[in-house]
Amino acid sequence: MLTERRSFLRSFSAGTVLFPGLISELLAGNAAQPHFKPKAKRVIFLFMSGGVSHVDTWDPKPKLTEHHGKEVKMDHPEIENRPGYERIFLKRTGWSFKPHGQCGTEVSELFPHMAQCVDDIALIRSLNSSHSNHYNATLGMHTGSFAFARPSIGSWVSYGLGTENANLPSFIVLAPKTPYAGSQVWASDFLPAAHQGTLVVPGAEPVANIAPRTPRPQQERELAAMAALNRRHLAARPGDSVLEARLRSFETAFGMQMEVPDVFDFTKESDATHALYGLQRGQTTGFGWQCLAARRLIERGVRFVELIDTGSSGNWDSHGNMQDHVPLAKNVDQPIAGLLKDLKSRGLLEDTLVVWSTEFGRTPFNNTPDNPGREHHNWAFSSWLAGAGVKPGTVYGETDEHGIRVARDKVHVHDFHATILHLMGMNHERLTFHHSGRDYRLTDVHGDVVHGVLA
Amino acid sequence: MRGEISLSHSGVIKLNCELMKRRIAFFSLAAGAAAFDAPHWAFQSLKNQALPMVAGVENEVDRFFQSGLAAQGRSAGSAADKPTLLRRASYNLTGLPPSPEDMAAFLSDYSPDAFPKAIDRMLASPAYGEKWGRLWLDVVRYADTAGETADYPMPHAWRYRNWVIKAFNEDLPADEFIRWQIAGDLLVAAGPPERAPDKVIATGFLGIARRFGFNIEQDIHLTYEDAIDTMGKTFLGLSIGCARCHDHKHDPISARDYYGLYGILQSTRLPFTGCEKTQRPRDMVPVDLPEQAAARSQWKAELDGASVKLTESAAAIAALAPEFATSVPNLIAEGVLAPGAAQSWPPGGNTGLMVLNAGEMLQLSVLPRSSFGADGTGVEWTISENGGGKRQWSVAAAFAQPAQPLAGWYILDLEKEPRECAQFNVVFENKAGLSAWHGAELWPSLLVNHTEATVAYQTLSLPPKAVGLHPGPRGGVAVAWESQISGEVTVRVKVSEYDPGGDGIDWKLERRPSIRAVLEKQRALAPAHLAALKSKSEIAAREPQAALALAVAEATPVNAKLQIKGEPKDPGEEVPRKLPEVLGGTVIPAGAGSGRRELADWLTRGAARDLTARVLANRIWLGHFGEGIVSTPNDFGTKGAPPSDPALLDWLAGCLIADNWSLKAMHRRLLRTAAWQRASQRESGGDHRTAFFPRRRLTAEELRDTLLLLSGNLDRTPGASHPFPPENTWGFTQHGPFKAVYDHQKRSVYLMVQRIQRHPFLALFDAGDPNASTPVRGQSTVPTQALYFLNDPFVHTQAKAMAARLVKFAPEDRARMDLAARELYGRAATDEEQTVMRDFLAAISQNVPSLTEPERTVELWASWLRVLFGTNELLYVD
Repeated sequence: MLTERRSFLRSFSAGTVLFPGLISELLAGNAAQPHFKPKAKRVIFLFMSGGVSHVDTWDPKPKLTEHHGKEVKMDHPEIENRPGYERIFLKRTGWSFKPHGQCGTEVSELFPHMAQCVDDIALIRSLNSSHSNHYNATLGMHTGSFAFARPSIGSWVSYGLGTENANLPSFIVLAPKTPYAGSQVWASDFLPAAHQGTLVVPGAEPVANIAPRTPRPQQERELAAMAALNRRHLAARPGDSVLEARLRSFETAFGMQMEVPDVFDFTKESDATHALYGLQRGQTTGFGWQCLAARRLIERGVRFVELIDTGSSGNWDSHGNMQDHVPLAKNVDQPIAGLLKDLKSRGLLEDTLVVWSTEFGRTPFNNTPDNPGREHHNWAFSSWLAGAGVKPGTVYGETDEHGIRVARDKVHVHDFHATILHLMGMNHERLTFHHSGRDYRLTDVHGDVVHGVLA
Repeated sequence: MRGEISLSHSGVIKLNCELMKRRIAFFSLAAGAAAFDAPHWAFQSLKNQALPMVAGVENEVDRFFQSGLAAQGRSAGSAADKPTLLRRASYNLTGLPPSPEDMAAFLSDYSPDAFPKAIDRMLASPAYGEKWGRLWLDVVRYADTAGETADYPMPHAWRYRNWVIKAFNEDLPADEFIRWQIAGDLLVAAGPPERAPDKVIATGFLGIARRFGFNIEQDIHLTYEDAIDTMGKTFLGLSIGCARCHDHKHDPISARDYYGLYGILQSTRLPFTGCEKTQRPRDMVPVDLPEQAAARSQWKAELDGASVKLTESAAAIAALAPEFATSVPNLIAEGVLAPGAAQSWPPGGNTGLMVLNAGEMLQLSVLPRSSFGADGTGVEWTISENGGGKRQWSVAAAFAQPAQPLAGWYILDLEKEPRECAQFNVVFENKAGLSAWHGAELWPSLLVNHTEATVAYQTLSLPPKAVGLHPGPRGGVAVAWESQISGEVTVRVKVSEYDPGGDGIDWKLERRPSIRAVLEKQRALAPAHLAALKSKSEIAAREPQAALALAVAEATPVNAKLQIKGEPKDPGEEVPRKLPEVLGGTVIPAGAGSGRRELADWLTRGAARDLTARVLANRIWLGHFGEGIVSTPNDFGTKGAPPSDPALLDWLAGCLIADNWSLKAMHRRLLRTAAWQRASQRESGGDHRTAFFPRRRLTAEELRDTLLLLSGNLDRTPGASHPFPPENTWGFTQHGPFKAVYDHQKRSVYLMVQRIQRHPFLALFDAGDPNASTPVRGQSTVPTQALYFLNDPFVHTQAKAMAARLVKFAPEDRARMDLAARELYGRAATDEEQTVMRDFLAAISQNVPSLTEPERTVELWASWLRVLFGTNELLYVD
């Protein structure tokens, strides 16, 4: 079945006009089969834009504090040929770390709520990315490509598995602002357009054109008349499933006008749930809103939901002062912990994978020990997985004594992607799409599944 | 990630690195050659094709087609009816539906050449280039922004876009079309001169290459890859870009081939688009456009006209010169003022007494020394009547108001004969409290600061309540006062240099007989002169600037070094600039320049010509039949699909060359076939020889243009540049990248296309990817498209505008429906449609609020037209 679907899509990509419109049908009625039994049916991908400092959050480095002010030398991309960076010095964290939960994983006081969830989390302290620029690293974390436009991980998952709800897109991105690299972050690129991320912007009209512009009884009559004309047209062209698919797409769209607002209507959520996410009643923005919306989307069968914290500005890029991490951490900490707890209590964490990541870490050093900020650091940073198929309460990988380089079990972005696909039941080397003379993969020619984080 | 490098016996670098060895086999040239013993079909020369003999079939393409179908044991479907045929041809050739008039004319033309005539008419329409130019722009991944981290605008890219459209419309032979895009700048010398700008602009194909990173010069190797990859796919149907990091896995393209082409690009100056690191663009190429030459000569004529008027008005004033002869100034006092110094007159001890006659004038002049710059000079001057009324006159009082000075005071330009100065706008330079006068030229000769604070103007710093004179380059400027009394006065003068720089000034106090009468005559002539002066200066200010093209130029020729694993920091051996080995492998001769000219010739006249022709013929076929004879139009390599009918492909490629590469001839050839004129159906099979015409969806552009056409809002004038912010304001970063949607009502090919932000509408309906070559558009059907039809303001606006038009031009609903069907579908309305329409209008009439006529009918019809806009008959081409 998988093979059939592949060849079908391949013929589509090759430009044939055979049944191109059927993709929506296929997504709707007959979700594709994974390569092997998946642990996770859906993903919530939490992306912190700007570069979260690992040594101030998830990766305690007592020696960094001890050696504060000590000069170090290295060939680092962010200091190369940079005036004022002829000399660099180790710089301690301003936050204290404590062990949490049964597993005793140490987390800094920046994330007091997420710290309570460490027993559900597989923390990776050895992530590594190929680029120290926001644009490239953000593109890489989303597409596996650090320069060229390629399909997003959400598009790959949608392409591989389809969706379970015809009334909603299979890949939804909740982002208040445009991220680095723009809409390439959720683009399907050469994959069929049905797999592109649908952008939801927190606020009054979260999805474009979702609010009816015509009173409902009138719109119903318009749709009925349209369907009558289209059926007559179809009757003269029997067997054209594309025409039929389009006819049905209007019914779906009509349904979406109801379903989408319903997803974002939290009035039936309890006060306790609101409190769990740190959300005020009636609030339609903020990361708490994004997190609760994510739960409601995956409940409705959306395959891949990405939440972007902030965008390409006003984000975690704390060059000027690490204290800027404080309000940003406060903004996401309780909602994310709330989401994990909510998913767990509803049993959803059993088949939902939650991913927390950022494009890179921040330098454990700076050009003076007193410089209040930190620079981009792609050599080592932290991310975590939680939920379906993930070994809970684990710490995987290790950085050196100062958090500068990965010391053990390096996890490159490609390995991270391979692991996510693996948890979704897909072999990253077999999830391919033939385009322009070769088979493309999310992981290019790289990637190893990180078995150490698997349950 | 350490890589081991070893040289194989054939001299080709073999790589072996831990991470990649499991998955990538690196071919040595020897191994590669073994794998390609018999040349892959695409690399073989075109063969003369014997036309299949099919009884009763005359058309050559049909003979191939029919024999192919016959071989499959199938027979062709029936022919499409005339209305279907014209609508199909119209969309395929112009991207727009036929007008009801064109349809009527076609239906009533029973001559055998009715359809060929219709095709010729469409091919002659500018809309043809707008449709087929867009298809080409898809292939060359056209965009208006650079795509690096902050997506800097490329404000001159549109000239390339418009040239592509023009080249299609003019049926520029396709070999020239290709040659110019690679090396047009090098072909200028071959003439004719009027082609020169287009040839330069055509190299925008290379100019629009994607840029990468924070510093596009540092990541230029990626831009070269983008350009090489796009060239390979566009012209040869080959993925050459794969060879950046290693020899191609499947096709006989080696890393040496890649870096041979890389050197050609390295020897070419790409325009610098601007990026985060260096924000200002540079190296755009000025072009002398014919229309600009016209604009320039028109401007020159205007300027000359204004000069004549100015000369005339100046002559009228100069004619008064003899009248000044009777008033010779007599010197009272003079001095030299060092920069920043001040002098008072009379000096200590002297009383400054003088006896004046009524009508006699005193004149205080400030004169330039060797330089006139920084000569701003403050003047304080009082004249006190010693007897009688003890009246007092002063410069300060005369200029106390920002209006003209008090009666009896004059400001004189002394360049030639005295000329009275004119006031600029009362508020000078938008500085409140600053007024100014000018003489023969438009710079201030006298400035007054009416405020209590120091005011700065250029190098001049004017103290509170000060009056300052500034001489011109060729003469002084003076304040003059005409005595109203006869008797003794006391005169006090102080001059102060306000500009610290400069070489100081000379000053003079003189008396002279009155020149009031001649100044009054002069004053009458002043408005005309001033108008002439302003007019000339305004015209001079709008001198047409040379047009700039996002084009390339030759740079110093260099050979590239192999980059190990595509990493520029890890260079290997030098590779000569050369063309790919599989088709000749010619090395660019020494002294030949970058090699672009050789590349262009090789593609269109040399060893690659036959492949180029096959790839292009296949694209035209694809544009009309929905699927190529090679169904992977950007991949003619071993991993691409083989041609479903190699003989037909070769025959068409041969025709293309024989027709002097005329694309219009190819359109005619294909559209006149019975194969293309068959009724539509959707058929599976994966073979171009479908028995029917494959039904297709309108493209994004066709849909938007059609809705604009139906509403009457389509602006058919060609688009030009986009309203990007001025270059000197650019400071885009990845934190605040360039991001805009510029809307207009012109054809969609003229919409601004951004690389890191997709245009929301174009992305929704599968428009070409501006980041990579798009050989075939997707035709997705997703609910978000239906939402667009239901709720997008654009659809509602066009429905309402069309409704207003129908209500205005057709008297009642039946006629309106008929007109709508003719415009939307190219046919009359059916009785069933009339019934559905009537029932619909009756039913929704209660939903539409009570409005006055005709607004109410327009609302009802807008609702009905939204129904029609959503029909498959509109969105699909049969």
